[in-house]
Amino acid sequence: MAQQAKERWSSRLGIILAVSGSAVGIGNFLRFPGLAAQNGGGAFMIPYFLTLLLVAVPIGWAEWTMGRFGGQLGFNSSPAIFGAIGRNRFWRYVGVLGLLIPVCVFMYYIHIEAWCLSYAWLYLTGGMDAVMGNDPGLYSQKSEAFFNRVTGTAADGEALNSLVSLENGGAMLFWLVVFLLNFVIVYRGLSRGIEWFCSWTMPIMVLCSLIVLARVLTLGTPDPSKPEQNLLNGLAFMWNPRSPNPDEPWWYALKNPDIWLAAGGQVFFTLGVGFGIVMNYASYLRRRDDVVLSSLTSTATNEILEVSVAGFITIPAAFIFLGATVITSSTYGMGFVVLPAVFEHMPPIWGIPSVRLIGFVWFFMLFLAAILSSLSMLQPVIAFLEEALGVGRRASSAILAFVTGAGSLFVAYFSRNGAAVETIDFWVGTAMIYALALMQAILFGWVIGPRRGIAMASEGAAIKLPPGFGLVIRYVSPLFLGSIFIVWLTFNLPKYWRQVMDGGVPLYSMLLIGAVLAFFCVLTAIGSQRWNAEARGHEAFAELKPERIGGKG
Amino acid sequence: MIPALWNSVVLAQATAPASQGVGLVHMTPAGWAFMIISNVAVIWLTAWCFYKVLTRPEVIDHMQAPPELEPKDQP
Repeated sequence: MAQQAKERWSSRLGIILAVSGSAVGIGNFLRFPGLAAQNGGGAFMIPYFLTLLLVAVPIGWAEWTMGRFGGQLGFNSSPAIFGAIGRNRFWRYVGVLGLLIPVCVFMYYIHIEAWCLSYAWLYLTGGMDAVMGNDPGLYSQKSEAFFNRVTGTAADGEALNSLVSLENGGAMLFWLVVFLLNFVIVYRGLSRGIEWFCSWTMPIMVLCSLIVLARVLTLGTPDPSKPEQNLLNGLAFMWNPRSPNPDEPWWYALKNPDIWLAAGGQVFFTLGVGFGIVMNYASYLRRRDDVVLSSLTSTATNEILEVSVAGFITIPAAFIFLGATVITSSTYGMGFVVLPAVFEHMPPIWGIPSVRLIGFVWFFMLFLAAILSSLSMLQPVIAFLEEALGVGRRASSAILAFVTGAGSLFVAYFSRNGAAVETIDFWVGTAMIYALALMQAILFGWVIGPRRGIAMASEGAAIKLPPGFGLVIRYVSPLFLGSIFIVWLTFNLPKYWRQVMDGGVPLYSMLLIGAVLAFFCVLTAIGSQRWNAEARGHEAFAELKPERIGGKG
Repeated sequence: MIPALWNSVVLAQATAPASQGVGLVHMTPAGWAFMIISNVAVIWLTAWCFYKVLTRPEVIDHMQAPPELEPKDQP
């Protein structure tokens, strides 16, 4: 497919915004603040930044470098790139994870995206006024009841009702809208579609987040009868370091493995390391385009929105109006139950009610964050279908729309207690991401080798890689990541395995995952012959001679 | 990016004891220190990165020369 791989990013900033947009998602604004507050407050930031420096940033550099190298061979998909670097069938099929993850995650993520748009629409049109009512004592209950109706958690098939009725927020109608929007943008291509969309949407998303931030930071003490629930104490709730046992000094929190696990997981997921997306995006770079500074800039952009924006919005706002009870809320609970209740309590701005405005801006911002991520999940698979089957963008988009559409409707139908989402999220959206990132670190650190890898990454680099990078990517990152993965599995695997063995929706979900995996494996086998021939013909491929691989690295 | 959304519930349950020490809170010196250091570090890094990106001249070989015509890497 070397002849087809002519798509390029039109500017340096374009790919940085696209990768940043892919990384910034709902988790930045909802999951990070909740986890930090639950896990030691300020103390959480120590394992958080350590994981960032020792795992996420090094693997990010590796992924960018391998992606750009694959692009020089004319490959844009992870199976082809993994196969060319690893030089055997095993690595090619490891690369299939880079397709399975974005496709399966897209199947449920698109629903969350639709909920965000649905809430934004309801705030804009005043529909939320009717949902929440006028009794402040009932805001939380009404908010929760409405969210349960939107998601259809009471019974299977309930969420589909919103296709024909707006009573439940019209979530499925919005699902249809965002599904089509995703494919229209991706169909337009890399530069005219994804890059164009990201270059407009990222600034708008940042602007929306700053509007909400400004509102929260000017709340002061909105209820004089509760002087302790003020902005400063809300910030203290988020940032004060503390230990699980209040009688102990805060640094005892660092002895708690749960805090390390939570921080490691958050850093890992927020940056999108191990999705196969960055590798695909970087494959459209030119040989001497920088990867080191671009990767770091994307990471920094993600971090500023997570730490410096979300860290000042979600938890302080919730604390000011609802007190310390908000700490037990999950990601979903925080975003779709707690915050709508918080917005209802917000005082007017210069005498003008701000509920609708802030609610709309907040959920529209979440929608933009979500669509920037979901778009990036489609492009790697479209590139793969083009490479494996030799088809054009129209055919590959149609095939992918069928696969993701069917999977997404499966998730929508089996909505009772979110069973399908939970199963796919655990096995693919979490476990396989850990696995793929670990394999990427091994591929770069052990198959390519640090010395050769550093030389590859440094080509065209705007800044130097830090000293010790080779040591970190070869030993520290895989060990650190592997340890987190094993501990995480120990905590969670038995429960989810039992659920699958019990049958029902978890088992059906596993069958769906298996079917998608088998589909991609067959296509990979079909594409292998062509990829082998094309890779051998490239000078860049010859640079990875066997004697340079591994041992001397 | 994509949060392990549903699993955050699991994590929240697993880590619930860490939050039990929270009652009525006031900003402590350590809280100020963590908040300021974390945010200054992140904001500085972002500003520095974008400064470097925006002030760096575009690469010369942007005319998509085929890889076969490009000079070989130095060993």
